[in-house]
Amino acid sequence: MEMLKNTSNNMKTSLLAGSLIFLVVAITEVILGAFKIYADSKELEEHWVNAIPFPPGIFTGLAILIVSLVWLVGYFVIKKDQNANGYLSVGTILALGFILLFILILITDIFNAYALGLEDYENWTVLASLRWIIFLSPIPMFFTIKYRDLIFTRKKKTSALQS
Amino acid sequence: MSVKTKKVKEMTLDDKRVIEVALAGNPNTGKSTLFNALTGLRQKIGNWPGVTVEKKEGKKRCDGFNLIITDLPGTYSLSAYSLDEKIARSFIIEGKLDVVVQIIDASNLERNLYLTTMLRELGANVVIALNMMDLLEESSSSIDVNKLSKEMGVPVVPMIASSRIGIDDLENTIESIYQKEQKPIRITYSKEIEEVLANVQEILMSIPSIPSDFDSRWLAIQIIQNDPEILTFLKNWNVNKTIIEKLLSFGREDYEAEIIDTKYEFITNVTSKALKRGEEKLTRSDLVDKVVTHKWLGIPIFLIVMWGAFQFVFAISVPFMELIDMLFGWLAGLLVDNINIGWLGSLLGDGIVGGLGAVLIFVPPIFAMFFILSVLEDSGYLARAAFVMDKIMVKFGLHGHSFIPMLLGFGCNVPAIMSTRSLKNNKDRMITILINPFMSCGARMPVFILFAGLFFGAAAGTVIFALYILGIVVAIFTAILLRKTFFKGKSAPFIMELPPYHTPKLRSATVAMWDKGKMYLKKAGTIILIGVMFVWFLAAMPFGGVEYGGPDTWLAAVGTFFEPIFRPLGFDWRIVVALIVGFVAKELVVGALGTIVGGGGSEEGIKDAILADEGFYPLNSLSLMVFTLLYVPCAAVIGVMRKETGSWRWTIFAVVYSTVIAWLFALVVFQLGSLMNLGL
Repeated sequence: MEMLKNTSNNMKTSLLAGSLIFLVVAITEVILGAFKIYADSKELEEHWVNAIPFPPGIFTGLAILIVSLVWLVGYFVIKKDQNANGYLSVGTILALGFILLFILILITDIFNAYALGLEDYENWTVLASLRWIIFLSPIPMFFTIKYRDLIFTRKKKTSALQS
Repeated sequence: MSVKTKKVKEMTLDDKRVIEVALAGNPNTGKSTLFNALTGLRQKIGNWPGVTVEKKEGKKRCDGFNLIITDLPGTYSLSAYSLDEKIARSFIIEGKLDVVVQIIDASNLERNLYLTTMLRELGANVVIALNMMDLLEESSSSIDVNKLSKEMGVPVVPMIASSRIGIDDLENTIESIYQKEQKPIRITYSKEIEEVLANVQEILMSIPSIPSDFDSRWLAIQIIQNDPEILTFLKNWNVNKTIIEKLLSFGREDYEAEIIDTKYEFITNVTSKALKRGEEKLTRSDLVDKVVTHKWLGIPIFLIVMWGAFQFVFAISVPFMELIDMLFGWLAGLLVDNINIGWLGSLLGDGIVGGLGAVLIFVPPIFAMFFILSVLEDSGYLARAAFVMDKIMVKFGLHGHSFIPMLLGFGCNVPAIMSTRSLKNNKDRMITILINPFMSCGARMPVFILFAGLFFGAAAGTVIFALYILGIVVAIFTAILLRKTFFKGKSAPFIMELPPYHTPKLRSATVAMWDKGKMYLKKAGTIILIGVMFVWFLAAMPFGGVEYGGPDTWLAAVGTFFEPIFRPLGFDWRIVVALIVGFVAKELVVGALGTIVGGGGSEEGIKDAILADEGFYPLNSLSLMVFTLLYVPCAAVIGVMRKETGSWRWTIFAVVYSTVIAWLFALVVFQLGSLMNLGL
């Protein structure tokens, strides 16, 4: 019983911390993303938004915001002594899905830049596409390692099939 | 088997025996997954006779025998009330089947066995494929396979079709039973029903024209339940009218309910022996459903999933598009450099390579779109999305089930319109069919990508996203209009079974992507090829002395004739021609422009040609994209609309309505933009 309570407390803390960190990232993304659109529309290519190592984007920001809200609702659910595994799982799987998407974008960017040598990629660097992955990975990876059994079903042969 | 006389089909394929198999089962039991696992890409897709319900057939080569497998529509029973049930039942009765494999969701045994009792009463040679054993185990329940087999009198093969576990056992079981005759099960009904059945059977057995392979008890059960199809059978067997009337007089409405109750009593008895239920607890699916169908989080989660899906489509397709572009550019150069006969070089370079290149470049995003939709469908998420969207859809006079056809419309409107048959209420179905063409299908994407990319630079993505939203808004507006005028009344209540979640399998998503995407390739090789050659012909005629695609060609004559109608939208005769051929297939809009403006077959070449042309500029490009979005998608959609609505009147209405709406919206965009001095 004590162990269950500890697990629940750990998850509560994890969900709140993860949610708040993602919330900060999301808000920053949205604000910087909006500013970047403005800067682009005014053709301010040398603007400071382009110089900071944080990749701006409104839609990415909104996606991160929703992941953070899922975890936040999970935190309040667990506070009411209810099962929040679903919130942990959905939030983490969504975040992992976005990381996979950014890895895919990174791979295609590398292909476009080095194999196809496209003009659009003249000033592109690997780090430019890698930044998303670096910023987004730690928390979902931590959740995946710590709560692996709650998030994923491990494959096993069923006894019915063995018989 | 009593349904039909068994014949051993010897030596027809590869000198091996051929066993004909039908896959039956409730919806969401993994039937398509099993079908794909058995047949791989050796599939043939057509329609069931007389209806537009998709029929899938496939082959499987095994050691010493071959299987020909037909995938039946998913049904809960064989009561012949819905179209799917009628198709499944007719095929089992009339098809030259050796074995019916019924796929059963092991975690939902009781409900699935209802169909088994019907198949067994019918006398079909059944094998039960007990699927999703992993989910059963997750729920801490277990099934005694041997007891289940004994009670139902059929072999039972436990399996996990999505992981291809149990497939070999199933094939071996099919082979071992196909020549053995399974006796129909006999469920004992109440004394009164049994007496009536005995009387009806006595009459039936005295009719010599009834084929001997029909089980008289099964026929009698259908007759006393007032089964509407049985009358057709009796007439086809030339049964005397007086006897038919006498037989039909045995039917009573309350018998059906009593027969269903007795079947469920039988099933309960079977499950009490074979199924050991685990402790009732929330499954992983239940916990996830609490989040993805949450009243506040459900819709935002759906929106970011779709946003992620579109990002995936664009990310994965760009390198492939570039490669195709390079290939066609190289090919066009090769033709121009090496063919000295003027007209032939023009036909191959300007016509075929130019037109086809402009179309084939968009194969990657279309395949990627089908792939990601298959992944979402396989995972079970699309069903949840429909559930979540129901609340919104109802407000617009639509139905939760309307959502999936609308979503599928982003891939292709043809299968999307066909999928509306899952809607039970005809008014809901008609509205969903009529608004579906406003969902921007993959074939319209080439026009958007080309013009948005050319004239809107960094804002291209936003422009395309806005076009998709405009399509949805017009669809909603049309739905409200139709609900308030021609299809008054409330939507049917939304009841939907949520299938358990699955990890999507690469193989099954790839097969589904290929199945749907190959339609696009087929179109490119047939209708689009003919279309671009036709456009080239008109653009080159009359031979001698005219500039290819110039103002003195036949093509210009056609375009100029219609130009006054489209001039207020900012279109010159070349755009008009592209839009007219776009009636055949939307891909032809870009294909025709590629042929008319030139560009040597590569995307870059077409872009350069358009940019250098004064007839194309941002405002009329936006107007063109809006018109392309909203006017009727293609001839195939018109055909399928006619079939699904069963009415030329509604089909013509849809074509005229969408074209008028497209014209009006494009007019507003162009005239408003001109007034505000945009794009000049």
